[in-house]
Amino acid sequence: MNTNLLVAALVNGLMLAAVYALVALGLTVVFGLLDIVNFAHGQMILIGAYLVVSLVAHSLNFWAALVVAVVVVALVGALLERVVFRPVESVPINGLLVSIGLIAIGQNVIRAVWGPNQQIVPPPVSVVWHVGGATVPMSRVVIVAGSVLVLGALSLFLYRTRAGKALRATAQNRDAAELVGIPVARVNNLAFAAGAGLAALAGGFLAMQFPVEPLLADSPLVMGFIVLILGGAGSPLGAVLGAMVIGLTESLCTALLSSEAAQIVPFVILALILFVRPEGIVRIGSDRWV
Amino acid sequence: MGVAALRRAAGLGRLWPLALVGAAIAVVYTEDPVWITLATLAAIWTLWATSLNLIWGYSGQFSMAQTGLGMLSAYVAAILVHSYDTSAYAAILAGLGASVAASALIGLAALRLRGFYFAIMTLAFLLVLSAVLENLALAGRTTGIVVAYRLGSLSLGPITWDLDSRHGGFLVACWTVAAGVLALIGRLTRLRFGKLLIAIRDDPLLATSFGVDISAYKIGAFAMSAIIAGLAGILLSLYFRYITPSFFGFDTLINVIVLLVIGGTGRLVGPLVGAAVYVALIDYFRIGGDYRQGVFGAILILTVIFAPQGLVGLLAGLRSGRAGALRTAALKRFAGIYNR
Repeated sequence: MNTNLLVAALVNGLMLAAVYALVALGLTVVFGLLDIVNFAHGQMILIGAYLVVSLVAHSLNFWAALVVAVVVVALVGALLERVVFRPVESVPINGLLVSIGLIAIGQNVIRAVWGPNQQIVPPPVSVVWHVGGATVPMSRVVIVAGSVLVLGALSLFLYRTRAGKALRATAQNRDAAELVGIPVARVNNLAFAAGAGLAALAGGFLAMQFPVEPLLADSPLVMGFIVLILGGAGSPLGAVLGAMVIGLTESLCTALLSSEAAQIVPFVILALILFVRPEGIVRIGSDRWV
Repeated sequence: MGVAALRRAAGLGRLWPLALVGAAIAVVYTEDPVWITLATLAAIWTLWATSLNLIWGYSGQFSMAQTGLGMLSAYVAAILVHSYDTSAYAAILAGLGASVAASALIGLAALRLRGFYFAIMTLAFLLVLSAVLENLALAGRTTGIVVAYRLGSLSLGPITWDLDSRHGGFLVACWTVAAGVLALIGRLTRLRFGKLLIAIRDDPLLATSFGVDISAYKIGAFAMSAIIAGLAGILLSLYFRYITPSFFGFDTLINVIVLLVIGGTGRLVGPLVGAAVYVALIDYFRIGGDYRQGVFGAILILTVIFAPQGLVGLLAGLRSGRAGALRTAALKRFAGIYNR
């Protein structure tokens, strides 16, 4: 077994895991709190990526562009929650339907503004490490490191700040949270904005590695959902663990088997999980996933 | 029921689907290729939407597998004829059988799970099948496969009906199938099976307490919806005379979902109205030009927020006056039990 190939596959897998974790976390925050399956998450990933492309094309520094993209998409997310999702929050299936409508609108807008062709972001980090005989592109390490930082910050936020506690409280028991005076509507809005921001961040990282085109977010979104279910819908820790499983599996499959197999294996894992342990790796508690 | 009153007024009673076939024949006589094309597509969309309506509107289980199941049927039939020299109708039967088998598998695996998980499983089915077909040489990979069979002709006494004719034979064939399916489902909802499905949708707990095996009924409904989806897929493949996985992909699925919601879920004519609206707005009037997709999405959002019971539900409410308004309000509240 070629160790260089293995190292490359591992690094690639970690990068994929990082991106999937961001996507799945965005979905988890929205699904865990608002019970909304947001299929339009993919469009938000895409808009994040495209914004980075445009800003960088206008000579903005990549990292600044990333921050701007995240903030803009988060604001858009907050707006969408208020205008489109909140009126239908009493019937969860309607949230899913509405998100499908948003997909159609999003696809149209993206095609109209940025066109169907590929756009490439000049990589901000093109250094390559040589570890032993293997080549490790720094950009992948940066993505992983960046994601770890964001996850750490998110964890700090959730467990060390009042707003984070309010979020967790609302996720655990919405009515009780309202009873103790937590402004649930604002918390939900914040959560959706955070989810959108995470999507944009994932989009920005994807833009670093891949050419940006309308189909860019399709696979990460589907993988994000698989990770969501695998990890236990509603559990941030589960999302991270699940992302590592899926990301590494996909990368190792591509290296050891074929890219076709790598496409199908995550679905096999999904089917297995739904058969064996539908509540996912990290069980939340019976009132969460029912 | 407002719509039932309309039907009775039309004098046909339970035989109202015949009017659809009659309308199709009328379109044939206009000899306008645009109308013929649109009407044919409308029939196919009606079938897709009816398939979804059966499992979602009537049984309360949101599914995204319909286009995938149709794709399976179409491909099985096409491959059997193309590579294994099967006769047309045998291939069609095999295709429908494959669709039912797939639905049984998915159903057994996932119907006991809650709505969200089942929906993701069905979406996964569509994606996996697309991926497999795109990589399978037998299926022509991404360039697709030619549909080499035809429906043939039907001789009824002095009249010979060429079922494949682009001048109207195929149109009438499609609408006959659609009308037949609608009539069957209309019949079904009056039978015990249909009523139990609706009961399961509205209050699964109560249904279980009466000894109803929820999973069995849902699997049955899903299998039936698979047959209808298979019919839609096969007719679509016959229409284009070749198929690729992209014909059945996420975009088509979104269109089916949207047009069913606009028409009205849980109502027999919902798919019909939705298909008519879709074909009229998108293909005929071409509303919004390049922004058609976005406009359609916006219409969906507005419909879900302001009129979740769809156009048919709205009309039923208007027609019956206050009683309708009350029923609509009750339906809205019941909608909270959809899929939970």
